[in-house]
Amino acid sequence: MIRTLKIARAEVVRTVLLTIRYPIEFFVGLGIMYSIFMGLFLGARALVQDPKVLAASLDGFVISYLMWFFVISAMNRLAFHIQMEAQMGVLEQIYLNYPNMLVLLLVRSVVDFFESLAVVIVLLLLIMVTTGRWLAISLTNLGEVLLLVALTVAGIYGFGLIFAGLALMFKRIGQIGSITQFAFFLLAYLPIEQTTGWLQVALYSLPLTLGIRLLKSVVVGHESVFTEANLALLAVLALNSAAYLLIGSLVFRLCERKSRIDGRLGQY
Amino acid sequence: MLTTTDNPPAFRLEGLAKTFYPIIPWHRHRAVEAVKDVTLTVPRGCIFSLLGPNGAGKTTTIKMIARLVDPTEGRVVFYDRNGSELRRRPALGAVLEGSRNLYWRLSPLENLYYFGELKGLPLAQIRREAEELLQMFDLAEKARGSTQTLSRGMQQKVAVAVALLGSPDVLLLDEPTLGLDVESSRLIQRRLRQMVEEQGKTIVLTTHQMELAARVADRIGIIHHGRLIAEDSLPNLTAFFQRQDYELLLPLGEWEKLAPEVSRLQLDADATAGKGETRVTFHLDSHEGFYRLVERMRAQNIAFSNFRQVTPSLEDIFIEITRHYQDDGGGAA
Repeated sequence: MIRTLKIARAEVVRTVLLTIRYPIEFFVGLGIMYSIFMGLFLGARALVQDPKVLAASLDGFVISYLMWFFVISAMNRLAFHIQMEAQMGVLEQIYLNYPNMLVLLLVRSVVDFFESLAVVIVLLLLIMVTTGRWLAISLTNLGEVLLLVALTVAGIYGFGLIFAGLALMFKRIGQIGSITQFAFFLLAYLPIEQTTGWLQVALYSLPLTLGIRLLKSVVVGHESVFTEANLALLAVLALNSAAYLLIGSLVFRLCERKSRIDGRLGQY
Repeated sequence: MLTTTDNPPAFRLEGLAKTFYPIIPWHRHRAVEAVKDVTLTVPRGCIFSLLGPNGAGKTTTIKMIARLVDPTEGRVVFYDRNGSELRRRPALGAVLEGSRNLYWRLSPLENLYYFGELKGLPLAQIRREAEELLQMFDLAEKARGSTQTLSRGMQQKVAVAVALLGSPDVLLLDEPTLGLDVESSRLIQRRLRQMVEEQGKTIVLTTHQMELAARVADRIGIIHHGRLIAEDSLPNLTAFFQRQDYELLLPLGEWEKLAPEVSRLQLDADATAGKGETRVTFHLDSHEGFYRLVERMRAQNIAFSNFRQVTPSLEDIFIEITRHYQDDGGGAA
């Protein structure tokens, strides 16, 4: 445990130092996400003439969009780390010093989550100032919002681990990442609450959908996540994310083993 | 230099083999046998050089020792200082990609801290060791600048310093001085020798630079087409391949007097005319040929400026061994 905390400290320091030294990348990323949102927002405003309808759907739209940002970040970052480190030649050095790469990636996931959270807060403020629509996030429901975001994103990190494993084996997997991002974009905007029966169960079992549904209940519907109905859904969300994280970990381990056999760990 | 054969083993490779199969299953016929049945004991407290041309299997062997590549067959056994077999691989230091083993956007000091934390070292120890290592490699003044701005030699020294953090008993270095200027290369060589002699570390270095291996290695393993074809100390390898070759330097005009005698004695000789002298190399079968040659020279009153027995260089030995190996169709020397 102490070793893991030391690694977390090292990762935080490394992430902060590299972010400071690559400021352009950080601000360009923020700018792109903001521009995409504004494009979507202005497009929606042109299509939906009634300001009341637009205002009613905007909160849910913002939540879905920000969660999609988390998805992009969670899925790409782990694979990006592996790809860059293999390219730089650092990957083997990391394996030599700390052979348990899965734990290292999980630590990185936590660090990345907080980094993404900081970006999302800035992005959210920019969006709220621009649109003039303020989401109902207060100190009273902030804990619930963070809990839901963390649980939802944990499942996405399962996919991040799968991509990291593929990056370990094939190194360049950018195209697969791009296609998956769009698939998740669709998932983020699926009207899950309008479905019933088996279709709803099937949709709940997908990553992201249930988390967004609960977030909308808390932020837009002003419900508590700890009501009886929502608690059951929260438990399903936790199990769902744990399952994706476990599958991701297993796939990563398999890819790692295959890479060691094929001698591909440090190859680029 | 240490007498390494009496030292207890640091680790042993037992029948180590590696075949790389293409990732596409129906391309399995294109499999590459990179390392074939390598068995080798590396003694503690020595510099062991794995010598071979590019593509011989040196890097794959060193990566199997580091557990970055899984062997197809065989295993690597590590021993503690008492010679008992260890169950787990001990901490190793390694530089496998040279200067590429670092985060270039971080400073040397930040790299040392990051990898020190990954190794699980306490911060106080990292601080102390980082200071010592930066001093040792003359990097103290560059400790806080970006690694990217350092020269290749300096980056390589930082990579070696990172590998030395935590004072691992075994250090694996893949082509550690490749592409370095003479000064940086010499400094690294001096430091490696110092670590072996003062701290009893075991260093395995792969190289295709004969002069580097000859200068620093206590023991040399020659690897060719994935097979370890010779392994011994340099003096033993030299003695084994010592032939009755003699080099004679003659003033101009003397070779013309000696040549008929050489022909009469049926000696194998190559003569090369140089500036003001002729260099003659004799490949003799025995000492007897040498004595008869000297007698004829004395009888003919032939003057000479130098006469010496030729000691084979590591390069000569390497060529000889690999030639023998190819002639024998792959049998070990």
